[in-house]
Amino acid sequence: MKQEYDISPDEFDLIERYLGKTLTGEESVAFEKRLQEEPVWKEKVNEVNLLMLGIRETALVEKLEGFHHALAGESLIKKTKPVISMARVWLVAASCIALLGLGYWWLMGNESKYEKMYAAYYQPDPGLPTTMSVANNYQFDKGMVAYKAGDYREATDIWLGLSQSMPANDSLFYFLGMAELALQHRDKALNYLKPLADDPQKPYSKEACWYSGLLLLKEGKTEEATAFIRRSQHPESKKLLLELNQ
Amino acid sequence: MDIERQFIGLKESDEKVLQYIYVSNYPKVEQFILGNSGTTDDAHDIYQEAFLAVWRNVQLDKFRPQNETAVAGYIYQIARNKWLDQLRSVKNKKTADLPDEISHQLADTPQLDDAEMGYLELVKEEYERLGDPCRELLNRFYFKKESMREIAAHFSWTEASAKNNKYRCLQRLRNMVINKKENGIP
Repeated sequence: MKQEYDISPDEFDLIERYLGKTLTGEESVAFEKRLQEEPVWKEKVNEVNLLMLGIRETALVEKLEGFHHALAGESLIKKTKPVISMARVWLVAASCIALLGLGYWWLMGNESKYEKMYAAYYQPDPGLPTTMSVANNYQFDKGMVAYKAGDYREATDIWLGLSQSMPANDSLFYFLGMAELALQHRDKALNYLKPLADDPQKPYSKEACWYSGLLLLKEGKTEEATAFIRRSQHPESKKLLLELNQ
Repeated sequence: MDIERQFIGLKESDEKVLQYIYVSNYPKVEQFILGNSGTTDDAHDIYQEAFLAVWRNVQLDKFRPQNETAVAGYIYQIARNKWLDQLRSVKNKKTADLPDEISHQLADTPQLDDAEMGYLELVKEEYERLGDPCRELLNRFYFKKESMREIAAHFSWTEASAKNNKYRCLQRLRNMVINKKENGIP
């Protein structure tokens, strides 16, 4: 590849449109003819293609580490079964709230006071590390991968299939509740979360209290919401209760 | 995730789809590399190389998935071959099994010739040195697929200025690459 030629703005534009498949039929025929007849034109097309590819690839490489962070804690050699530190979950959720809070308030300008409070405090549970181990866990983890990638519909599809073989699994119900909540399916979310919230002995009871409380708050059911939020002992609960009492 | 969504997501570099594909296929590759004398760092590096190779082949119209598991299978095959090649190159004899030659050849079909690959690597190197405004402009247009109108609004330019600046940035990048290639100087 010897670049002993210039590429004019119009040529760049035409080549980009060819590579992006947006030329008209007539333009396309003329372009292909030129490719057959002019070796230098072919060089130019190839070069522009490589320039575009290099720019995109560099941008993608910058994203890959971010994608890898989504796998944090998932290394096969680190864990043999899902274990969660709730303190860490709350810390991550609190950090996200701090970062996103302003954006949410801006976006929710036309909503009610309680909807705004919900938007300011709601952050999806970040999910569990996955291990890809035995059959049922494998399916659960597959759902968790979808959940963590934000594909909540796929997560619920996978987990609903599992709920037949794991009928009394609180983790499964909690995360089904989280996925339905993210999909804004209010009734389905509460159906999964309230049984956990109502039984303090169950795992995820406090988390279920927090999210059930937020959902009820969003609907203006402040008394019921307050009881759940208080029981959640969530790090943000005191602040939210203070706001509610103002 | 269905086949069309995977393909369009790869082709258009849809961040959500790319992350989904990345996250869902990593564990299998890691499992293979850890089971064949590798570390999690090896798995990280090999997996990212394989992921990029698959993405690049989609960009170059050299790979189009034919079923829902094709992307997963292709990433795994490339990662597996890259790791086995690396093991061979350090004469590590602990490899559990070797790939059959046919699948190896298929996965390793050259995407670009040496001259093209060299040019591409120079583009990536020089792009890093291009300066923030040009990088942002080109990133918005080529990776995020923003329109000239959106880019013009972001930078408070007219559309004509945005188009002109895009050309200047591309031309600057091209000159840097050619200078580096011919003279070894930036």
